[in-house]
Amino acid sequence: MLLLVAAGPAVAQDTRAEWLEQQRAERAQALAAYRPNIAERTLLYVEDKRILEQLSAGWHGLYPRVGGFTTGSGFAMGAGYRRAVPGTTQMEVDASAAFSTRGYKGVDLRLRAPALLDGLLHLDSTARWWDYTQEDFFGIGDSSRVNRSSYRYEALAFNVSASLRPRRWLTAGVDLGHLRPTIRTGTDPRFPSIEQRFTDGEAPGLARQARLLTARSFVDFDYRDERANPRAGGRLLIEFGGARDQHASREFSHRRTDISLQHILPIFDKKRAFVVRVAAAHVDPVTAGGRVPFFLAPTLGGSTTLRSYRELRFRDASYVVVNGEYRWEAFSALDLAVFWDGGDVGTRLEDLRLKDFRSGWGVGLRFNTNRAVFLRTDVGFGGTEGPRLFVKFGPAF
Amino acid sequence: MMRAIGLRTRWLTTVLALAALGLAVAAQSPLPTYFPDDPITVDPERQPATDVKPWDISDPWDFLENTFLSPGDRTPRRAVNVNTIDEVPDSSWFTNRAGARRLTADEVRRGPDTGNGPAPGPWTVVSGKSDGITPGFTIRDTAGVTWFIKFDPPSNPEMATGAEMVSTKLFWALGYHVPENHLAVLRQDNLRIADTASIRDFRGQRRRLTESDVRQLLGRAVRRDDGSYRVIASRAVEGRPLGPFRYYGTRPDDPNDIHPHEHRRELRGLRAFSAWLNHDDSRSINSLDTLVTRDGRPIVWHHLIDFGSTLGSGSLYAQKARAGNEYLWEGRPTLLTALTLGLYVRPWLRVEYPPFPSLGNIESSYFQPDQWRPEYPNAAFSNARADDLFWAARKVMDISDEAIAAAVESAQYSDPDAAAYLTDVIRARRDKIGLAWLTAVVPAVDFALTPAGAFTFRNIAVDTRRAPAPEAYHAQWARFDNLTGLATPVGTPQRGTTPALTAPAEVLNADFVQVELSATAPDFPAWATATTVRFRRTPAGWILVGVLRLPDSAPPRPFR
Repeated sequence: MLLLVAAGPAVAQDTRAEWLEQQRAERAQALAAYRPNIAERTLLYVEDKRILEQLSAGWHGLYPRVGGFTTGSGFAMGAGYRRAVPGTTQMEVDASAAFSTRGYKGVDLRLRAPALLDGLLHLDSTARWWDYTQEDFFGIGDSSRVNRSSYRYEALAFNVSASLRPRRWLTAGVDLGHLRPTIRTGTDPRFPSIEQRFTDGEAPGLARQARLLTARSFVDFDYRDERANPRAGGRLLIEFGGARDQHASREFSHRRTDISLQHILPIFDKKRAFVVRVAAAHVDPVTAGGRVPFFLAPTLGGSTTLRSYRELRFRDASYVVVNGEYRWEAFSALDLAVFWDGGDVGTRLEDLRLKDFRSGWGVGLRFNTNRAVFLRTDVGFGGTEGPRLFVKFGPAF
Repeated sequence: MMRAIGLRTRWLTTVLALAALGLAVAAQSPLPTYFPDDPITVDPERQPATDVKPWDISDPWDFLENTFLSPGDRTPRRAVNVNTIDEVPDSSWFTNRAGARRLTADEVRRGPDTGNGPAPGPWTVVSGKSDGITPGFTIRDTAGVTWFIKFDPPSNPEMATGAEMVSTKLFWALGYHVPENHLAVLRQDNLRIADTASIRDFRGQRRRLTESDVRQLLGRAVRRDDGSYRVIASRAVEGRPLGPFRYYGTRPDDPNDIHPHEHRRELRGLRAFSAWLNHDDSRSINSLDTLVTRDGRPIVWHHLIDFGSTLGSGSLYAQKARAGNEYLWEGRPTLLTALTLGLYVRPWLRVEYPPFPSLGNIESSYFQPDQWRPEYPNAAFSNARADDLFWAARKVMDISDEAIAAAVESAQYSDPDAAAYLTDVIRARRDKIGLAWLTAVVPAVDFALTPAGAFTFRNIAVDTRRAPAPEAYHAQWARFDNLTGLATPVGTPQRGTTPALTAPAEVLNADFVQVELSATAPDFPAWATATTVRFRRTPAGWILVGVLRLPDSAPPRPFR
């Protein structure tokens, strides 16, 4: 018993200070290093090793490439290698390749200087090869979906571009390139291939593979508060360009004009926003009797234009689309949206009429940070072809 | 003879056994309620923290854990690190300033400063910070002192730097350990880049810092007409950095950290201070422990850092209306808003803020202390009871109009209207804190008992004009047994209309006297819950040794 008493922890203290001191002395005998639980350890590892940055920027230059093909390509995955050009701090070289579950393939090689002259000048050059094995084609104009066919779009493209950004809200630039497309039999087993349903007259460019020199210039007045998750401001983007067919006939030489105007009206500290976007495009053959390759014609339908119709659903020489969207913040990481889209395609601009609009409405979720929408789901209804679901990693417009 | 020896042995054994039993009982008997040195004013933290190691806290995990898992002990109980008169002793966490003495405007204006900022001469950039919430530099001045340089966002000149200055002064005045922050002027031609300076590039990899990087970082800051930049120069805090502290639990490698953080008074009370100054970013990431030397021992010292997201500033933008009004995640308003297509409008979205870009979004009309909340919950704030918030409110109310004006002056706002508005807002929010939480318990302070039995106190809510005088005060006197903790009532309950009562003569011959004090005030039903006050007899007279404003198991003060 004596031994028990002597070994017991409780010893009378005469002062509060001694009492506290004894507790600390006892604690000093049982110190341990902090060991976070597995969830925190994992997150700490991700933060410490900058895994997300490595994934986007690369591990020793290597990075995974996800997506990068057109909608409907299936899940695409690949790898890339990116590094600064030796001896420079502002130039990088980037090579990547990817393959999708539907057999889409692509290889990109890029040399760019994204922030020369303190961010004023952006230079870029790319060499790309892609093989989109089962792109949809429904015909030109107000085509029926029963005409759905698929085509294989393989191409090699070289481009160089330069853009200036003298102000945060103003960017202007030019892009010159060379495009060698090859249209082949589509591989979608559900639908006939394009040549089984359409002639070259109905799908210009089907019979002869064009070789094109391309050019594009643009000016972009972008005064939105955040480009990847805008809640206020607006944007006017005007693009003018075209292609020169290297064949003596110049059959596929054409001009193209695109314009897009967007305005966002925020209320309640930007927690609600009304967004209106109008976009239009028109292509013109340069020569008499010339034609525009069907795969370069403006298209309507899909996640950024007409969400109650599938991607590439309508195409013609002209299109116009009007989008109205009301977004409201459910909580700081999620906005909800209801939208209405309407648009039309036509051979001439004057063929575009409000009464002919294909339209639809829908609802959507936008998971976001302050600066970017990182996941968007939109469900479009009201079209004539059933509801459509889109899951995207970025804003609609 | 043998039998006698045997008897003597048995007797001796019995005596020793009884003595041992007595010692055991004595040793394991409850502690006295009050030790001779109570109430202590300094928490004796003397164990050397020799084995403490730097740690890091995952910011995303901190959010997830505190939002969805409610970590820490949530048992309703009194703060554990207060002394016996309900005050916080000075410690590695806290130094009593406001409330302990009347701070002058000059003291608040000076705050934690020990100098005038970076020494004159060129600044040598030793690293750049292109990621994180705010861009900035780390520089070394000509005296070899390291400073962190932070800027204002282009949209809001003077906002983040101003908020940092004002809040640094006021959090220092309230008692926290904070960095020394100075307003300074950065001129690009005054910068030198160290040969070893580095920055993380756009791939997240560290590389040498170049002049172009410096220009790009400056491009994200507000450039004044003369080409200079207004910046905050934040001096590296004393000691070796050990990482942030949590708002619950203890640091397992710190021998002095015996009080669970969720039950620390100064962390519970930080809820009130953060509400006052709209420090919605009051979370682990904005705290820092360092290893310092005190009295020759290594001790962990606890700091609050980074006040760029206080008042109306959100660091990179004007503070969002949600800040201070709703957690990042709250289910009910989220569902209401989602299901009504946004027709349900959170009431704080209708708040209008005056157009001062240098202040961001800060106001005092809509502000309600009990409704205020940080970015996400933490155990200390959630455990805060009325007595914790009363303690804090006393300190807030003790910051004078002049002291507030001095803190705002330290921000050197170029728009005098903005400075005047912010001064008014901080004063008005202070007064709302007082109204909400000075009245949350019987607001009696400065208790005194004379040898003749005259018992006096102050009603601080009345004195600060936060409440009218109550209809009556009620007192029940008792003798208090310091060893058993039991009180024996003496006489019948007393009633008085002024903060002056008289103890019955028969209680004054006890070693400890207890009075349970309550008040009748229709507007403040909380005043019906008695505050227990205890005095100890000493040769010099009665001294205050005990103040218990609420029962030990009183629940926390909920967020409205």
